[in-house]
Amino acid sequence: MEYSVQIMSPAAHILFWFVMVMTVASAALVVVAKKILHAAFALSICFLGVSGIYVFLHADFLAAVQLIVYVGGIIVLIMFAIMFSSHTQEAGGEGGRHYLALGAGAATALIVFTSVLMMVGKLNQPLAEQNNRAYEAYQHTVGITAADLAAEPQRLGLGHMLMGEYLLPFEVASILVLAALLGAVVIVRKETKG
Amino acid sequence: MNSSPEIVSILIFCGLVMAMGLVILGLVRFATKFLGTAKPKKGKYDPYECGVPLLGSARERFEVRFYLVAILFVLFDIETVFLLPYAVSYQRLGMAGLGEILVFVAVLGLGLLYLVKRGALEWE
Amino acid sequence: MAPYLWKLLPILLVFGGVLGIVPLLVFLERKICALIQDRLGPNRVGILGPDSPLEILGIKTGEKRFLGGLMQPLADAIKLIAKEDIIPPHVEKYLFEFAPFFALLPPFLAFAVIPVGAPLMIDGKEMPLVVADVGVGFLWILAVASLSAYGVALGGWASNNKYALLGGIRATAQMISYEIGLGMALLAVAMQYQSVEPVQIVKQQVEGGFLGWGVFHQPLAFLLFTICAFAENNRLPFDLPECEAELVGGYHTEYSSMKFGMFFQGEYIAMLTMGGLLATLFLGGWHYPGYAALSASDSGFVQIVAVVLSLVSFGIKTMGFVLFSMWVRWTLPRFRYDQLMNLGWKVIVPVALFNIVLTAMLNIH
Repeated sequence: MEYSVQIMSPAAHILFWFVMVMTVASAALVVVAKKILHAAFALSICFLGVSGIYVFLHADFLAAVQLIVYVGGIIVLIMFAIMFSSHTQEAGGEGGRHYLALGAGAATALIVFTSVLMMVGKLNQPLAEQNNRAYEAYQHTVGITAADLAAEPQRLGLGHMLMGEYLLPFEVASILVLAALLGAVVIVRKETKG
Repeated sequence: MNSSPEIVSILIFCGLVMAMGLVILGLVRFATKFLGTAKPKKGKYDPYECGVPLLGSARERFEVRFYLVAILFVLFDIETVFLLPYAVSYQRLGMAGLGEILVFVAVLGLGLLYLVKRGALEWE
Repeated sequence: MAPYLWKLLPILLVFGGVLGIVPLLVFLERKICALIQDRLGPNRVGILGPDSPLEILGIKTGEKRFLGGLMQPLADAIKLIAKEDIIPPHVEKYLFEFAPFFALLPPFLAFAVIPVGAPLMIDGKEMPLVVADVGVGFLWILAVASLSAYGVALGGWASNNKYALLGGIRATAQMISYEIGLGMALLAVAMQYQSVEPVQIVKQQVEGGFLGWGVFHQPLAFLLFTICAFAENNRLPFDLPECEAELVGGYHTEYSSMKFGMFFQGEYIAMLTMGGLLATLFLGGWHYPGYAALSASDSGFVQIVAVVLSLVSFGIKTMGFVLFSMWVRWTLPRFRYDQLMNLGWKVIVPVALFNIVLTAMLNIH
């Protein structure tokens, strides 16, 4: 297999920066928004931007999953949570600045950011090799077109990766989801008894 | 994946649809601002309440089951997404794949069964 | 012409087609409702004659009405736009303003992956008549379907009115419940055809002829999909979000002028989209008997006729679903909320899961 570096056209560049700015700006808006529902809405735009970034990485499947699970699922969940506990809605943004909280937040952000940087740096060391590996992974998308298959009959889908190499994580994921399901039941039972 | 022209098409289409939506919104604002004369009347700008005085606020708390439905939705959405890669290549995965996916589906199916048996989905 | 310019053709076709058909649907809905209720329905504003648009512009067109009622949607649209757009002081201004936008957007975007006609041959290469032939077609449908809850949820919340909020929350819970069934019905179809691309799925159905249609291979998925499509569109018998007797107008109670119209428009576009999907996945898409013979012809003219007929065929199938849902709307009463939720979680989801396992068992050799 040959790997080629794709050079983006100027239009794609503009689009790329637009997506980046939109993502970061909406992420900032999540933090500074006065009304909590506005923050949730900004978060959905941020997730949308992340999905756009996946598209630029040629990870179409991941982009769609990001849309389905985060923008369509998690945000709706968050909105419901806000709507149901709406008495606190007007109370947001009151009271003085909590320097301790601010400091803790900044420290956490710093730690997360540096660890991400370190991880990225580590990934980058055998650059060519990593890129090849990543490229291979992207090739394992769901949408194998008929043309792809004709060109490359032995090509396998993401399903093979999940069912083969990553079988254990795949099955563990179902247990994780089950745990969340049971947790939800417990929450609801408590509410109805009280 | 060589799908970049398709992405451009999608973007053009999204752009068209969004532009249409924004044009309608703009038209509505324009018509209200410049063409019409708003006549404020008593009660016109109150929340709609079928003609009787307002009873309580809209910011009431809600049945927690709606929240449960949202959680369930996220979980089964994730399941759907996990099943999709399998759906495309299940024939080549054969019986082994079927067994693996049965375990996956059964775990969640049992969860749903438990939920129903506990009566968490009963709406009065 | 540059090949890319040809790509604009399906884009404009889909965009213009959907926008153009929506007013017709509104007219049809009112006429069918009138037919079922033994009334006349809209019959004044025609193409010619008194009350027609030409007459209003000052052009005399005679005394007889021609196609009376057909221009009613145009009159409605003008009226809606000209109405005062009331933004009551108690609403959340920005979300209130943009919620109709989010109600209109998702159903329209789902149309991007639906092939509306037979592929065109351009420079010896096949170009499917679809906005975008992406590899992740089904995921795109699921993704935009999951966005469709936004419009109603935001609209209901931003209105700050208890009927609107109740309607919004009911609608959201209903839509997300039935989305699972919808997604799993799609999964079974993907398994049947080993593909998530609508274009490929239609192709396989065309190759299979009439008996190759998805409805014969996936009858259970067809049924599930139809039920979920009704629920997703908030159409009777699933129209609890806006049941007039309890909730005034549901999530759009506080909306006026064309912003209400956008919710309305969104509903009809959603019907079209669901009809289009149903046709694509289960009814052979644009396929019609005799296509193979026509498209094999050497004459370019006959080939173009074959493509045009395929557009008509797709349109008829889509409209079939739309007319069916109109018929159902004016015939059936609505569910109670507990019945709705029971059907969604205790019937649809387990049956859909069963269908997936069944499909796998039947097709593994």
